[in-house]
Formats: sequence, structure tokens, C-alpha cells
Amino acid sequence: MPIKVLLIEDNLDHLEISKRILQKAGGDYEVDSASDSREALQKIFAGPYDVILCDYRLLEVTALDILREMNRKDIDTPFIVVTALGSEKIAVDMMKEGAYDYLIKDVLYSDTLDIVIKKAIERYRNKKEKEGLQKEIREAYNKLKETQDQLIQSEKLSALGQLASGVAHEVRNPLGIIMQGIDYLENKIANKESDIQDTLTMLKASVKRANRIIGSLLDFSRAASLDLNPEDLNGILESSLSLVKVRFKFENINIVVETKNDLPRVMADKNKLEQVFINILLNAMQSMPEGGKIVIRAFEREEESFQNDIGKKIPLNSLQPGEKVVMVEIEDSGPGVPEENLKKIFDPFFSTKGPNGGVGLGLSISRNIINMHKGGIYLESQLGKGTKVTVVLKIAEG
Amino acid sequence: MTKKKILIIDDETDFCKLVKRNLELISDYEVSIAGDGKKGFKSAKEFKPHLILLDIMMPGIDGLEVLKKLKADSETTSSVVIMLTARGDDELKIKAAQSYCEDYITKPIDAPELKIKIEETLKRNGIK
Repeated sequence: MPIKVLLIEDNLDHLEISKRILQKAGGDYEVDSASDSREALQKIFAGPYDVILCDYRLLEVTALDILREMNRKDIDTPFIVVTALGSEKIAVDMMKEGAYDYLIKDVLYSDTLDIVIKKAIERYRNKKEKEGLQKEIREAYNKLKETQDQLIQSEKLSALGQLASGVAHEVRNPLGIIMQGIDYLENKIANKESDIQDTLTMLKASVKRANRIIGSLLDFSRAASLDLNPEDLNGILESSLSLVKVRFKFENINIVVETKNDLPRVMADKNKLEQVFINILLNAMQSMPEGGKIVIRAFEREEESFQNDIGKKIPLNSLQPGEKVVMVEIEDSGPGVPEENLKKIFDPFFSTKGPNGGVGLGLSISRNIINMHKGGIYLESQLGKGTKVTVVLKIAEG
Repeated sequence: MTKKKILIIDDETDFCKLVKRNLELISDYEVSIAGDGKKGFKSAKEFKPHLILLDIMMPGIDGLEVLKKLKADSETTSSVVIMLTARGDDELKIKAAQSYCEDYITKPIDAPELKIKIEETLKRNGIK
């Protein structure tokens, strides 16, 4: 492969000399030339060249201007500046800007031109090789880090799972006894005074509440394992909705579904994903005790365009640039989430619903489940306007 | 009509006692209890219950072992078994044992619900 050289020189005699030197150096040069900066930049942009040899002083500009323009356009080609004798300071400035080497027009010019060019090309190749290796190392490191994070997360969940099922056993057995005891007293005490009945009802409600907490803790730790299959997202959304529809009607909530029919299949654990959507839908419902509206959207997007809209808010390390995803948005017309709660909203046991509401694990479980899907979940909210939860899912391959 | 016989095998003896009291109060079952797997199996052979409530996690012989023995023995194989669990991760074990047991119940359960579950299970198995 011949070495493609671009000579930038406004003095035609000098240009001719350089061409001849290169021809004499051997048949492995393919020489192109430009006699002013405009032509030079045109040719550089149209490129690529293996090396650019540029006279420092051109008609209206200097080699520094050309190099800066190349840097601005991110063009990385070995650039050698040719200066007159006694202009070493210029050469240093040029090197600082990224020039590979400099040549001085003196008696040694003809002897050194070929060597300097080949040296610059070699340096360029070494640099590229190093960059390639660095990139590989960086990618390998990122992948390792990601795997490690996932491993730590699943280890944590599995430890929590063991703890949770141990706790469940230890607590549910006494709860079972208390429950049976309450039932027995309820049936046994004839002609109960109202405060006795009231007390028994409260006891029973508390047993049920404690049991719900245990159940949520188990759900939380169970996100550790997924049964992933290519699934129809619209189907999952429909079955999630069918489970809450009756309650929504009762609570005076209007549901608008705006999903695309031809959505590609997503890699998902159907039951777990349903759990996520139901959690989000119930949260939306509970934020609107006077009734309101919930809009559900689902559409396909490229990862890139999705980042443009939402910026860096959803970290999606596992997605490649340009990889297509399916996004589900669930938006309510509720009062919104105050700024100070936004940061804590995905934290385990964070709840604003009070003792008789949820345990505060719904969104936390949802986030675990979505993370295990290598997707993203994000919540945006404006006080007085409503809350939008976005779920991003990977498309099933093939 | 003879009374239906229910056997509860659970190491939580207070639970056994209270379930017995409740079932005898709100239903017409004859209830017997056993505090561990060994006693449970013995009692199943003598008492010949129509239905057994069998706890999974017990010291000594655990519920799944008892279940196997009950099903392998001609004297006890016809008793319908409902497994009891207080853990959250027992479903898989129960699924594995499902060919031998009829159903399972996660504690805590209230007495009316338990009564309905027993009634339905007996009915499903043609025990009138």
C-alpha cells in the first residue's frame, strides 16, 4: 500500500522539490498537493491521508490555523510542519497543538524528509494501537464492573432472601397462632360488648398488616431470579390493567391507553413485569383519592433519541448506542411528588401512605425487577400536575 | 352420618390446639393433633383421618418426609393432605410434592377461611 501524502505549499518550486525527493525515496509514495489553505482543507476533509506535510507560512494563514481546524473537526492525521531555519519556537507551538514533527528547510531537508514522514506514520500507528488497546481495556473493565455490580446485587438479594424466608417462618407461625386465637375468642365470647368486638377486629387487622409486611419483604427478595422469555408487552399491560380495572372504576379513575399495536417483543419475566405495572398503577390510583386520569403509553425508541429527551436520567449501561428499546409511560393527573421525596422514592420502606397504606416496598421492588431486566425505570413529577413513571425494556433478539 | 376426621401435624402445638378448638366450634369435624412427624404418622394410622393438615418445617422428620410415608402406606394413603407453610420460599417444594398433596396453606390463616378450604378439598376428593 503506497503512503498517501498531502503536501501543502504555496511556493510551487518548493512543492516540486519535495515531490522529487519523495519520488527518489522510493516508489511507495502517492503524493497529492494543495497550494492554498482552502484547497488544503477541502482535500483534508475529503481525505484520508496517511500524512500531511504543511509549510508553516501560507498566503493568508499559517499551518497552525490548518492544524487547529483539523483538531476542531476531530481529524487525526500525522501532521508535519515545515518551517524556515531559525523558527524552532514555531515548531514547538505546533507540536503543542498536536503536530507530529517538524522539518527545517535547510541542507538536510532532502535527506530527512523520507525518514521524518515514516517516523510520524509509525508514531501514529503506535498511538492508534495504544488507543485501541486502551479502549478494549476500558470496555473490559466496564463490563467487569457491571457484572460485579450485578453479582453484588444478586448476592445481596439472595442473602436478603434467605433472611426474609427465615423471618417469615419465625413470624408467621406466631401470627398463625394469634389469628386462630382471635377467631376462637370471637366465637366463644357470647353477647360481646362492642368494645370487645372492636378490640378483636383491631387485633385481626394488625395480624393481617404484619403478614403483609412479611409478604412484601419476600417479594422484594424474590426479584433475585427471573424467568425471561420474549413477551408481548401489550398483553402484559392488558393483564396488569385487568387486575386493577374494577378498583379504578370504583375510585373514579379514567384510564387512557395509547399503546402501539406493532410493538416488538421484549425480554421479560411476565409475572414480575405485571407486578411492576400493577405497583405503578396502584401508586397512581392512591395519589388521586378524588379520582383522576391515568394515561398509559408504549412505543419503540432508539436508545439515543430516548437519551436526548430525558438526558442522563436513566442509566442504561447495558444498552448499546442506537439500540432500540420499548418504553412504557404511566402518567397520572395526581398532585405530584414533592422535591424532597423524589430522591427517596425508590428506597426500600419509603412510604407516604401512613400505617394503613403500603409498606413502602412497591417501587423499590419494581426497580429491582427492572434492573434485573437490564432496563431502566424513572420517575418524573411536577407538583400540581402529576407524575410520570417511565419503564425502558430491551427488545428480544431475533 | 359419621363425623369427618381431621388430623393436624405441626410442631407449633399452640397452633394445633387453637385450630382444633376453632374447627370443633365452627364445624362438625372430629379433630386430632400431633406435635411432630413421627407421632403424626402413627396417629394417621390409628385415627384414620379423612384429611391431614401437615406442616412442612418440623424438627426430626419434616413434613415432606411424612407426606411420602403417608402416601406409601396402604393404611394412610387415602387421607387427603393439605400442607402448611409459614415460609415464603416453600412453594417450589410444595410444587414438587404436588402429586402427593392436595393443596397448601400459608400461615397465618383465619378460622373461617381454613374451614372453607377443608370443606372444598374434601368435596373435591369425593369425601361426603
